[in-house]
Amino acid sequence: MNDMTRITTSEIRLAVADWTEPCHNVARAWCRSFGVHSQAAVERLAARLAAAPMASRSAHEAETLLHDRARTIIAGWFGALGLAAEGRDFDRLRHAFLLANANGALETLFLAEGIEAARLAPMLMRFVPVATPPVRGCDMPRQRI
Amino acid sequence: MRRRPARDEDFRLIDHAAPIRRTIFFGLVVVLSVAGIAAMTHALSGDGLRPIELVVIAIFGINFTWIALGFTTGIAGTILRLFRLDPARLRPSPRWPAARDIVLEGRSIILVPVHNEDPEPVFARIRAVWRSLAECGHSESFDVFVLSDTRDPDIWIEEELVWARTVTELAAEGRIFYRRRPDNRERKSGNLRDFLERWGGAYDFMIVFDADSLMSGETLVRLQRHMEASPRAGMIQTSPIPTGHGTLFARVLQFLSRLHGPTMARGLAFWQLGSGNYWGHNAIIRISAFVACCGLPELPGKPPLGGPILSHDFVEAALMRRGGWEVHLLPDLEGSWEELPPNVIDYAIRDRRWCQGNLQHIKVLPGTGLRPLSRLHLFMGVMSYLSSPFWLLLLLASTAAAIEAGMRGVDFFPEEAALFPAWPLDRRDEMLTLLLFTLGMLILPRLVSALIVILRNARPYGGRAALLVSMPLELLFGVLLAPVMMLLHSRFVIEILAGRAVGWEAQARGERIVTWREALALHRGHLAVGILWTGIAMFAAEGFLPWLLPVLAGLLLAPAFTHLTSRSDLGRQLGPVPLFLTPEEIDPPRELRLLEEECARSAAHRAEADGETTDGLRRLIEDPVASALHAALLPDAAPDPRTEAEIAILYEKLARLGADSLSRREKILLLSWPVRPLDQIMAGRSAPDLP
Repeated sequence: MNDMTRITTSEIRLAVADWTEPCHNVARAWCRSFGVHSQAAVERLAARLAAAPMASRSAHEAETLLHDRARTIIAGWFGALGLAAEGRDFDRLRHAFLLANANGALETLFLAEGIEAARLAPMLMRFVPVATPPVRGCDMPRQRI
Repeated sequence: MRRRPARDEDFRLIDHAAPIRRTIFFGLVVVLSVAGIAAMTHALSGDGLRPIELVVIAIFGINFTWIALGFTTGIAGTILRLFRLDPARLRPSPRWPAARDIVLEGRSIILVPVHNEDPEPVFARIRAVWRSLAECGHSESFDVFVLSDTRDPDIWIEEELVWARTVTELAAEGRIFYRRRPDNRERKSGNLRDFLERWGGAYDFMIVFDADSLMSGETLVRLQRHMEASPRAGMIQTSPIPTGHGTLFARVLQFLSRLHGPTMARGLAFWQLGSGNYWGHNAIIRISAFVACCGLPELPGKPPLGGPILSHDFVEAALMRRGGWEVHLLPDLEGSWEELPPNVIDYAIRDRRWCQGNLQHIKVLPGTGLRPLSRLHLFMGVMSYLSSPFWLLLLLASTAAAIEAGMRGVDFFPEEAALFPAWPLDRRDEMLTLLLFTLGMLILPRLVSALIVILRNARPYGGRAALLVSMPLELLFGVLLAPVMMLLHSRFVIEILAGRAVGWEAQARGERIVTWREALALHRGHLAVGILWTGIAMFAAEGFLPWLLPVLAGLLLAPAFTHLTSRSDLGRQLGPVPLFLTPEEIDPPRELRLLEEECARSAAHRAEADGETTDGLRRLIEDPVASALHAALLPDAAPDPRTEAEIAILYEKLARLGADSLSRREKILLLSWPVRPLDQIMAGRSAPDLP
């Protein structure tokens, strides 16, 4: 993702103790981007974001760090389900989760540990967008006229 | 007459007896042309031939040969249609089995290249085709791929969303594909090339669509079956039927194409056999042959005549033939449709683009190893536009000759010391006969096509009365349109030869009323030419005026013609008689009904979304599903540092000034990478509030 936080001009420094609210803000944003509105899921993600040690830094650096960390946590959760979430696969899984969770059925499962991967993974895979077929190209030489 | 059921061998397309029938066919063209030129020479040489008359004869010769080719094709087609003969085998066509009873072995992909097209109608067509394929039990043999070259950010996002909705609705995951090309290199041919180089190896055949193409499942299946049975066939072109528009302009052309198109297509198939042409869409192509033979080069020199080849289809057919593959036209295969531009302005815009593409073929014509008939197809493409300036020159030269003759008067003693006067010969009758003969060659095949329908079954056209009234009105329409198109084409040719290239705008397909102001803006030059020409003819060549009347009428009435024919409420009825009806209007085939249903669903969906933003960037910012889908469809790459910096600046602009502050190029750049959600975009703004 593009690093939007770098555009800020703010140089406000965050003390370690001040991380709670930014963690919650970032967790809420990421949950919302997965169509998840459950407070429990937000708390789960915020707790994991806050769990890692953080040094004092500027607000925009903190945001960047938290967003990166949130993405890593969610990708790790997909990985635990047996789903590769590197690069654009992460976005495909996000889209799949959004569709699978359209009626809110997966709210409670988001980032939950110990859930049955065998049950959730195939459900998500059904919704992964397949925009192109597997690559199988041809050599097309230029002709001379 | 009962037709026998088709056998396996009937699916094999043949190229037999080509030299004999082509000798007869082109022999007739030559005989007719020579006769016409001789008649014109005789008619003008009453008092000797002056230089201006020699010019008239030369230009007339070119134009008359062109007409003779069309006439002979029409006559061949008429005979074939009259006796219901297959144009290649010259035997009655067999009764083809239903698609459900046909077994297919290979895999085909339907390719839909799009460029800034309204996505809803494009995908409505795809859904109709898919449902038709499913109904005939063959959807497993076909995939669909929408190849987008769209450069409009809002249409891009709309395409993605409509694609996703279509896949979900049809349960066609992994069968209907979509990709957008970040650059538009080589336009449509480059778009197809990109597909072939990345995914072409997975399929045996490709069926190329235009954004307004529609084909039935039955037709698609039969096309593939013909391909499988004809190992030498590289391309098979169908003869698409124009349909779908309600403006008077489009309805008249739809009527003419429906009535007369099958005749001309049969005539073409008769002499082309396996040396046919490709019209760029509604055709099936053998991928292995195409990639081996049809990689287009750039033409030497700068655009408009040099550079990337725009009208790629004719050239691809020529290269396919050069590679030893056959190119067939199947005129009896119905279930293939397209749309026409709905008014004169959009028709002219399309012709401007095609004109440039076809004139480029002047550079391809002398190409090494091309077959003679391929050169003829290319030449015909060039002539379809060059004939206009030739007609214009002919008319101007004829006017000049008439003025000169009027000014010169009659010289009874052209030779000195002559004892007897040289009485002037009045050859107006000869000229009139030649004119009527020429008009007859243009009109006769159309009249016979109408007669065949009237005698057989006129009901699909609204009955005999409807046909008998519509035909002369269609001729009048043609007479009024021709002079305007002559001047427009002449202008296009001059512009292109002067080096003015055309851009790549999306084709306007929607119906709209051309206002008087727009019509006058387009035709003010034509109107001026018409007034000037009328004045000159009235004062300097009064006797020539009646000959020019049809041309002058077309020019003087052009603004009214353009405005009135863009309307949908005109030309539907003359008293109790319906006008310009086609079988597709009276009893739409299943696929057109499916399309209507799908368009209604699209409209309902649009109505539901009424009030929501159509700005693509805003949609992604506001809607997580759209944003995730968009990110999922982007290529797996990261921006380079310079691009990243530019993107960061654009996000700053977006956060401060809103989406409307961004240009189309800036939006495209932002959309070329995953778009951040609103709270991240606003992070810079909210940062001072952080603890």
